[in-house]
Amino acid sequence: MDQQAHDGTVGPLVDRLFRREAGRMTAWLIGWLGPSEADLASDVVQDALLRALKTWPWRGIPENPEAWLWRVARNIAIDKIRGRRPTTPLHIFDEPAEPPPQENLEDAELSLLFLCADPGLPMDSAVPLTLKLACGFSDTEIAGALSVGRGTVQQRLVRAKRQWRTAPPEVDLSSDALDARVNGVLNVIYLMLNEGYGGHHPLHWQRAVLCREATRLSLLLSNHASMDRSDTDALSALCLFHLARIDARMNGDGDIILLAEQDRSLWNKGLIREGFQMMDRAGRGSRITAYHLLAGIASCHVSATDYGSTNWKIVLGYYDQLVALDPESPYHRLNRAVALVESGEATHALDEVNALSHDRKIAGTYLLPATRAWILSRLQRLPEARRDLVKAAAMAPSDQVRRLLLNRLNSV
Amino acid sequence: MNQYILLLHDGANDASEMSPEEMQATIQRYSSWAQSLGEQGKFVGGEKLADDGGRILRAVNGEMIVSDGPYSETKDVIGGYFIIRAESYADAEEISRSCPHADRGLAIEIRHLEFAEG
Repeated sequence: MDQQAHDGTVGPLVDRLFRREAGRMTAWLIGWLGPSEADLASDVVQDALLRALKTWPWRGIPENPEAWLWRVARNIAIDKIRGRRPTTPLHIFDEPAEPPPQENLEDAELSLLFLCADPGLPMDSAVPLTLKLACGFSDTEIAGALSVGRGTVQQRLVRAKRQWRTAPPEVDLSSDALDARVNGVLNVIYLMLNEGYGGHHPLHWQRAVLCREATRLSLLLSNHASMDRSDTDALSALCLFHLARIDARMNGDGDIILLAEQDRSLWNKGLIREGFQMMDRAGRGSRITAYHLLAGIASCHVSATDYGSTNWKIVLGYYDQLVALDPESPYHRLNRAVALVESGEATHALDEVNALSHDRKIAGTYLLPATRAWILSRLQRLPEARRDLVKAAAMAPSDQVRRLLLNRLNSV
Repeated sequence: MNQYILLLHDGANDASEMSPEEMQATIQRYSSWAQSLGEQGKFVGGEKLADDGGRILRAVNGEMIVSDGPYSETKDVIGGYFIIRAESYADAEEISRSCPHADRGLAIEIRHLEFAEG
């Protein structure tokens, strides 16, 4: 490294540089060496980041940190391959030591997304694999993000990578066959967004890093030349609308702030504007997907100046379509009940929520009694509302959610 | 002003499960520390030492013996050093206390450089 001992003058690193470069370098290495070398690729990237961690504190941050990381990653990759296969022809190493041009990088990142959502892989591998390879998450971080044990994460990753070694899938970004596989990728991104925004994690009400990564990947897909699909744009709009509101969903004490009480001036206007641009693009397609409807609902919220001026008729209309499109999802029906209440149909909403109590997917969650309590309090049936709040608090997935429910119990 | 060398012990810390953000944040903390010292004219330089622990050479019964070392355990390895300007040991200790290395639970050995500028 042609770098002088530092004098402490180099400025701060670009925000989230390591996360971004980890994803890019892994994508590039897998594109170069093939999916069967996914393990090697993540080891190389991890080693390169660790090398930076072990060197930069002493020597200072290099003038061009990206180039440093890429050069080191390339050298580590070459060492590892030479060590394992001493006869590897040298031309395989004619790869750039600097970050490749933006366009090639985006191709590599997109290919990796398709690889991770490959229909041949077990369903539960896709999200951890994407987080690991495309987003640079450590195993512990994935375990935390998905609320599963670290061992489970590793098992799922190992299974997927074993499959890649025995039957390496191929991704051709110019092929028509790709179109059929986009759904899988969108689903992975949507799951990431939901995990980040979801509220069912034992420690965290929300995880901004997951929402941010989901948004980044969705935009990568939307903005890529080979993707001309309205559902990717709709998902991007949804991601942007969610991400825009992240900071307003919690206060400094770690308390949850629900939509009605949020300080809307904290919403990120730039992201909202970008979301509406994506909505416009999504509207050009002829198909209406669940992502369109979800983005439509989110757009009603972000465009209302306060909770009271939300256009609930339109929201309800979107939920009606959503339930018709995906009748199996109890979550859409539960959320629709909220829109019913705000449209003046609280009694009807209560019937709807009661009907869900037999749904196995949602019956065991705090969401059902919490929503019912809210409806009951709107109907002035306060003793029943309190009973449901107590029940919901006992089922709360995290302290944050429990605190929210108990606070409500005090005010009902 | 005197010069002091801060020998930064390293190795026991397992960074392999750190997230990219955590790694970046750690680097950033060192960098800000060095920068603020630099602005006060108290930062002379720093270098990383290789992780291999190095070699030690000494004459034993008239024969030069080279061995690995000088550390018996990898967790004792000195990972790198900073050279700083300080009035006294007390001042150097104060500066070391603010070094992110100390926050990470890693030892900092402080030595006065004899030859240094007066």
